[in-house]
Amino acid sequence: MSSPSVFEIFKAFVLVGASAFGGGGSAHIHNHIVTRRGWLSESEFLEGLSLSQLLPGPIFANFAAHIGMQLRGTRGAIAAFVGVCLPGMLAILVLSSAYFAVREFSSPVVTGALTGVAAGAVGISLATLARVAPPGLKSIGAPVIALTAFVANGVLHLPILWVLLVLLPLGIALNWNVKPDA
Amino acid sequence: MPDFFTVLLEFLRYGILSFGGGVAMLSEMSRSLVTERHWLTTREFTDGFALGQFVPGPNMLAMMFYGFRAAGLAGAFAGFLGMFLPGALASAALARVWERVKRSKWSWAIRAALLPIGLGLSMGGVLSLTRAAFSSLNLQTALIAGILTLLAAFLIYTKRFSTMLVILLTGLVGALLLH
Repeated sequence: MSSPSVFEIFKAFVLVGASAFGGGGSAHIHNHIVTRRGWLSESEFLEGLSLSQLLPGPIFANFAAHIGMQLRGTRGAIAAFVGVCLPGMLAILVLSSAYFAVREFSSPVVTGALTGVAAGAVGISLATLARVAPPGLKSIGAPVIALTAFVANGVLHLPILWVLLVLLPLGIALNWNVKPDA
Repeated sequence: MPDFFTVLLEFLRYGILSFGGGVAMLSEMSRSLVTERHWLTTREFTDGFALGQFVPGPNMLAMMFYGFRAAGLAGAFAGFLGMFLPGALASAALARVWERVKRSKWSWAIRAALLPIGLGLSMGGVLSLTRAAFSSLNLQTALIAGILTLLAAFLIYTKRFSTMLVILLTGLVGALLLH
């Protein structure tokens, strides 16, 4: 795979940023960057997602900066980060000004559209989960580690730092003597 | 009205402390921005968060709304930079180091551990998205929304549609049927 130019990275992430409604940003990154453009493999995607979650800040934007850096160094990181934020930044500035001018923004049609978009976002995330599950479950103890991470953070809402402090050493210990076959 | 740097410092605090994404910082933000500093009312705090969900991209763009309320346009950018810059800089730096670490022998064990953790955390993310999308719906709208979810999952999994098209489609169906 030849790495894309800074402008191609910027364009791709503006598209990601403009289409990622209703949260679940990493699913949109997966669709645009992995599925459609093939710039990253499934494992590189999951690896980058985990690394972005290790750090503070909005995971979506962190992940964009991470991928941009991986694809084309510092300029790639800036292109991806600015690209992913730009559409939403413009939108929220317009909406903020409108909000403080009008102070009400609810209508049944808008609420309905938002409900539909939220439901669609869940579906997009489910599809992504199905795609990244096989490479994510290959290593020793992976199903148990994945399930523990899910229950600890997703169900019990334990701080992510604790989850990582326990599961990362455990996974490393289990896979210490395993040699990659590929 | 607070100046650019006061707002920047306040949001830098959130940007540096928000492990696991911005949502983890919401209760601290509400305490500080509403109760302590009076930059926002409670209503503005919730409305701003809803607007953050409404715009595309990272939902923490709600910080720009909070910053805008506190100090106008300069405040909006201070809110954005404070919340987003620490994590983005750290992520880019880690990505650069990672390329070197990746080639070492022991890095395979780290990757073998990171992949399932990322998968588990994503499952948790999907669960909270599902809760947010479905919790306020009645039976009929929940059924329609559920069908939309499955349809979206199918179209994306089989690579038939882009996410942009799916979002437009579900938004349109929602506007027509879900109220």
